[in-house]
Amino acid sequence: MRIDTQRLFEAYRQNVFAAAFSVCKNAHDAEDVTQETFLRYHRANKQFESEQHIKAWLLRVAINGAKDVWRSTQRKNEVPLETYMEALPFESQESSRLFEAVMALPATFRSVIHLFYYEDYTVREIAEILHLTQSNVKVRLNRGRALLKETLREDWNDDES
Amino acid sequence: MTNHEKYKAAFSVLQPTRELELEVPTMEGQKRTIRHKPVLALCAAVLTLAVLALSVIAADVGGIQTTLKTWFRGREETVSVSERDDGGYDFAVTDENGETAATFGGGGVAYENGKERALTPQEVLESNELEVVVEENGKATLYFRDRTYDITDLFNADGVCKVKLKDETKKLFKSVYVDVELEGDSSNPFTGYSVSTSGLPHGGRSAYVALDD
Repeated sequence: MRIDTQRLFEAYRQNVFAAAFSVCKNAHDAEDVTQETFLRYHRANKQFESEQHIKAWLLRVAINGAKDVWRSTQRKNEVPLETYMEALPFESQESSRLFEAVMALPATFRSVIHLFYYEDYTVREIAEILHLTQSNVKVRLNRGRALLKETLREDWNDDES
Repeated sequence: MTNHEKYKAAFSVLQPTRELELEVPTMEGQKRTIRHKPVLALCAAVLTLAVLALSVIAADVGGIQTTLKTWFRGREETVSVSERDDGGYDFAVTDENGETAATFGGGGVAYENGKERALTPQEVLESNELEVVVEENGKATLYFRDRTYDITDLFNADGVCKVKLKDETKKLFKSVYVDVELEGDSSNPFTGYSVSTSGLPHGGRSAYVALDD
């Protein structure tokens, strides 16, 4: 199946942008990646099984694109993360601290953490999206959680399965 | 709140701030590489595929050929177009007397919603509207529509030049990132050069010299 690109864009632009940002940590780059992701879908001669299949494909393309940008622009971001964060309308200090703590995680953990907590994917689904083994995803997830717990303490629960 | 809820609350503030539009067809964001050899670069009559930017709508001539007004190396030129059997096009640059000054061919495909179609002659020309000419004496010139830039002094010690241009006609990717790399070895330091363009920078924006600032 195929879905009209414009409709898809309206439905998932925020998801794609957030996934890209979680990796490259720069809004300008994440917007470039978002555009490129939807343009790739638009040009791709590819059929999908379902809308969820399309969404997973978009997220994978965005994360891979953001990784490329991250590798090429590390520590050269035009707008420092702190400056960008000041403009974000966080609802609470707790949200702001969580955001900052995630951004401080190693890059290899961030995409796994984001897909698990923001997109509600399972370990198996994340492994398929990122082309990793399930055990690798579990390791990254557990280490990412441990680091978040270490930083956020009582603001981060222990009860994740 | 669960960790999932906390995470979603934190990251839902992320919204694209730039106005985003999906632009259709063909070339934007696609990497394109053209290989040049000095002998061609020095020969103005051999245009290869390069260079011509569409500026005026086409007019039919005899129902077979089409003429387009274009830019070539900073000058407005007239190009006649005829379609080949393989879906590509033959282009001929005519001078002010209507005589053919140079010929070249080109073509390609675009994908729209998963379907393949042949590029129009306008799209073929638009996709090749940027040309870099490096001469054997090291003089390097970049042409983009009616604009001409001397980039001779912008190569680094490795023979790589990275420049950025503005393209105000685009809705997306308003910057064009151009990488020029000289080819050669110790016995023959200049055997040719390659040019690639993209809507995204390779190696970080800071690596590119902005030609329009």
